[in-house]
Amino acid sequence: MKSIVAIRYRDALYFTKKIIKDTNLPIYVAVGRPIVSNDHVVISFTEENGISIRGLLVPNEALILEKEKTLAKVDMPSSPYQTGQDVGIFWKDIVYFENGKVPTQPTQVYTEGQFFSQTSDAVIIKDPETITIKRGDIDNHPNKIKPTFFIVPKVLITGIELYDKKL
Amino acid sequence: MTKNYKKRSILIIDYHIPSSKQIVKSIGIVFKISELMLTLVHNFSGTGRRPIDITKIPLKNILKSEEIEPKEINSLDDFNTSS
Repeated sequence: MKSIVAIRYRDALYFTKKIIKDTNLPIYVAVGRPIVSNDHVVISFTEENGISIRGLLVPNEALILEKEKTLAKVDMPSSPYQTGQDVGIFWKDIVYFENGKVPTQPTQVYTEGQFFSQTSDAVIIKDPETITIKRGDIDNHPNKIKPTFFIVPKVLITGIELYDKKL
Repeated sequence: MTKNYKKRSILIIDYHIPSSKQIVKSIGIVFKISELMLTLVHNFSGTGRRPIDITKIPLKNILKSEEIEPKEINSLDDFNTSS
């Protein structure tokens, strides 16, 4: 029987305020039984007959590991983006699950909006539109509210595109 | 009944889902205890200690509970040694 673990991880964060002052990403903690794969770990919170029915999937890049320095996969440009530049970001999201539908991979997400700023570990997008791409289906994310800012950890970003909204 | 559970202790609890014959095992940190209900938190924001996912378990539905000390993961290799 696998023992119980405590992990620390990063997650993207959105705001609905018009102005944000604190752009630091919180650190999250989860406790549960680990199911380890090559590129992610599932932390199981609730089980029935030894089968996970509720938990979360965390990509390895999101784990905060004191003994390993995680580096951003994406090469951020040496000259910073200009505030207001239209950008599109592809990133991997943490997946929460229940009812025994254990996910097999992180959710692929695409956020489009205006580059607002960046910190050492995150990119901040203003007026974002975000879609999740699951098995070919596309959904708005979040689907009921309209965020004003999205803060995406750099370690979860798999690609960045610049574009011009006017074209 | 509440004297058996300590706030902030980490437990594995076997319990009956209310109005069901289903028995499940839930893992988490004791966040709240009342005369009737125990609230387990599974993950939280580390800075504000704000709970994200919780499970409310009626005390009368608890079949078994075990206090545990989770292994803190500081490297990917730590998962392999948590068996």
